[in-house]
Amino acid sequence: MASQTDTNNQDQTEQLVSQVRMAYENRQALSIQGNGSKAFLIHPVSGSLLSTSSHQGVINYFPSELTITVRSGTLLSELKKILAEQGQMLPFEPPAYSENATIGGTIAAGLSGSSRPYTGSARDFVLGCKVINGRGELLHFGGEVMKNVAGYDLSRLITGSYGGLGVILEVSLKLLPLAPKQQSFSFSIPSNQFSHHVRSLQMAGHPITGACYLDGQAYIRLAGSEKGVAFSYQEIRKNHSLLNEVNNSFWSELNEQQLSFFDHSQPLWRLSLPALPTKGTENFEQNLIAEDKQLIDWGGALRWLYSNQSVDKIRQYAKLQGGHAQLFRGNNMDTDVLKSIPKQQPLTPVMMKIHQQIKSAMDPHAILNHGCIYPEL
Amino acid sequence: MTFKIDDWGVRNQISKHELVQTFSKIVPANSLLFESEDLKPYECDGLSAYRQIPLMVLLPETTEQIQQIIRICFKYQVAVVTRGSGTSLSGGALPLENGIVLSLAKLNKIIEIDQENFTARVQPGVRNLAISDAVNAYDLYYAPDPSSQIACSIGGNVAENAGGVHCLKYGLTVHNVLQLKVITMEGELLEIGSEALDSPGYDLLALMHGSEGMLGVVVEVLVKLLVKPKVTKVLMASFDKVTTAGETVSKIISGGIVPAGLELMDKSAIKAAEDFVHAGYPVDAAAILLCEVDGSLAEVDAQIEQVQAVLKEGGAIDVHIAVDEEQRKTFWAGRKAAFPAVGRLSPDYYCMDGTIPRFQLGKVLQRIHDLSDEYGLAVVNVFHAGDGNLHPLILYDANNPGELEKTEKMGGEILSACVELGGTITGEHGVGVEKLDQMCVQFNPAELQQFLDIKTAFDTKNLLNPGKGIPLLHRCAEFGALHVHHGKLPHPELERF
Repeated sequence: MASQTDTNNQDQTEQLVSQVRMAYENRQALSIQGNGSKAFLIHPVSGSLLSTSSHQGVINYFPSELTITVRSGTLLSELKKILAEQGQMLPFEPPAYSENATIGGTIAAGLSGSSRPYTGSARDFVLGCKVINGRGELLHFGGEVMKNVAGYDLSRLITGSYGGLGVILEVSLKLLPLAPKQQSFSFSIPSNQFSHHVRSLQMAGHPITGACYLDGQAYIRLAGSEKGVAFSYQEIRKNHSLLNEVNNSFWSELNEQQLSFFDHSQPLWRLSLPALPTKGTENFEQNLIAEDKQLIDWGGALRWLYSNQSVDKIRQYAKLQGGHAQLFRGNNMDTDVLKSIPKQQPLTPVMMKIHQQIKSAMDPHAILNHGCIYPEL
Repeated sequence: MTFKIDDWGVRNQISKHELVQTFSKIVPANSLLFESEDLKPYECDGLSAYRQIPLMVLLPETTEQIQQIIRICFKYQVAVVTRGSGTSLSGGALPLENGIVLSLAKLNKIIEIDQENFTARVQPGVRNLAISDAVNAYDLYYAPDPSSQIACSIGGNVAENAGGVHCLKYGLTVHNVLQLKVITMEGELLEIGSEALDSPGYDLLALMHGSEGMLGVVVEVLVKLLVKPKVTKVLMASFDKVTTAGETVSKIISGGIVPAGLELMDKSAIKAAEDFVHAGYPVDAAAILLCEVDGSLAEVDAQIEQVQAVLKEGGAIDVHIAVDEEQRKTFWAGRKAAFPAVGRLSPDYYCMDGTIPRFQLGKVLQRIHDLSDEYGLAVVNVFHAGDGNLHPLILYDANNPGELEKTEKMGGEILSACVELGGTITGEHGVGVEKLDQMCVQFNPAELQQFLDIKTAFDTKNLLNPGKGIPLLHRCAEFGALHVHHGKLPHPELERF
């Protein structure tokens, strides 16, 4: 059984636990940070810095088990490299946004890339974690096995909580083998037909792992065995007069927001919606104004929107459609407006109440990244 | 056996008579059971060794009725045990002496099927298999398939985070639900998750899954549907050693294939299943592996070729590919009937649910074998090999005085071994009342206290299914268990009981 274990002493557990314990005793606020690559996604947190940056290293890697346990300061790029050497990957394609992104920050942000609708999200692949709660206690939830229903699923709760429920020290993740073959192509199609088209490709059983829409073109990625992908590609080609070859690197450029689409100066919104609108007749396109620019991902379930439209209008639309809108990058947004609104869609009062009670169960003195998602949390 | 569980000291502030009067204004007479002969069918769930007659049973028909019932229970401090189809194997729906059972069996409507977005909105009492049946015509299905899928309800599946034989590829319940409507113990309706693929704030959707009815009452579920695979094939490989079969499982997966299902049965399980359903299993083999792959025809062909090569290289004595759909179903019928088949061998059996990293399979099987000798109780092993989820069935006779207790003790030792080998005490059946002591082995006091604090965050008076899922710390002290992980006692700085 191959298990790769680190030899360097990169274990900062003791120091981090004692720092949080002291902060708890002194009721002193902490600002938790890995390498800060996703700090723009939260509201500024006051308090002394608690850095997980040097808490690095792979603790267990069992390629045959499809699991890895790593310390939170481990670089995402390093982790991907280790996995690729064994022909494996993080199935949720997390964006890094910077070369120094850590796996701790990746899990704290809980973001997933283009494969999300087809293979799953960050939290779907979290099996367990070791965290420090707001009392400075070192806690271990979940484990390194695929199935585990002992105790509440706090590892998945902590995923995407931006450090507000605990300092992530270690995370155990489920992995998948890299597909032997990936093939990407594009074709032109009107935007209002895109989601339906992706749906029909799914119904036909094609192994889609990416479906995005930009500037009149649908981009599709297939992944699977050589034979399976070749078969599907031939089938799809029968229905299109022209399929353009697309380099597979397109998807990482999209994921890392390096495509030229991401060069606009307006505020960037991330709208998470049902792929095919079912509520009312108005579709998203009818709500766009002339300067708005959009890129559709997740086969229609995710929309990146550069828009100067009012915050309320964008959020009301997202809510009406059964989804939500997150202000991803403020860009040229008025500073006062930017300060006055939460980046994530506001919660209903009953949901906020339960969020506050959970926060206080994990972090009774509210010392961990207080106010990072909403001022009340 | 009547099993009186520790209900965490809940004391009703209302008499049974007054409670009946109050509830009779909310639900029709046939939805309110309080005479002992009517309560009898609810005295246990799938873990029938434990029984307790509840104070009364309510069968509400609407969300509003549930809300009203819950508010009354909150006001008068009456404990609530929510029940779906009662198929829990860990006593999650075991009644409390002074509590009500809230049966959601009448909330059994499929509200809406959205074939465009691949979702179905259903009430909690809808049976797991009924969802797939309802969307079959659209070429869709609901993926999680616990063995009890004919009977078990989707609400119960959420409460237990149910798995099944296909979760290696398609995930557990938590991976296949988009939204829940939940009533809190204060009677508030929460919408958790959304029709989109994620939601703002904390991931409460994940937290609700596997919370064993202790955080809220699930009143509506929006499930994700999948497109039915075009082609599905199953291979059956036989081995002359269980450990060789176990090692081959790892080789298939590290070879880059994630089968739709990968199941292992040992010699005694093969024999029991074969005698029962005549699935065509090789009764002289020490173990068989059932490996299912699905996808397009080309994809399946490629995978079958690769799996076959790995199986032969791994030392399989024989490999059969089911020739047609009928034989594929027969191969699976043996596996799915393994539990009832074992039921024919012995008056009673006790089903364990530990999970281990797969490479520890050899060690854990040896340990089970040794314990079997030591206790003089036979064990049959079926194993969700792809997920490392073991289901050892300990055979016993409850009519022999002390044998159930002996069986439970042996089961506890198997679970402790799973934790020592880096695994967990329950993969998919839940803790319920059954594995409370083993929770003290898997988690340290601070971790258990954190769970209890989360419980209180949702349910300030601890009225929702108290006494299940999470042990109180004094119980661990009495049990005398010490938290072990990877064979070591971590955090020596923490206080021990």
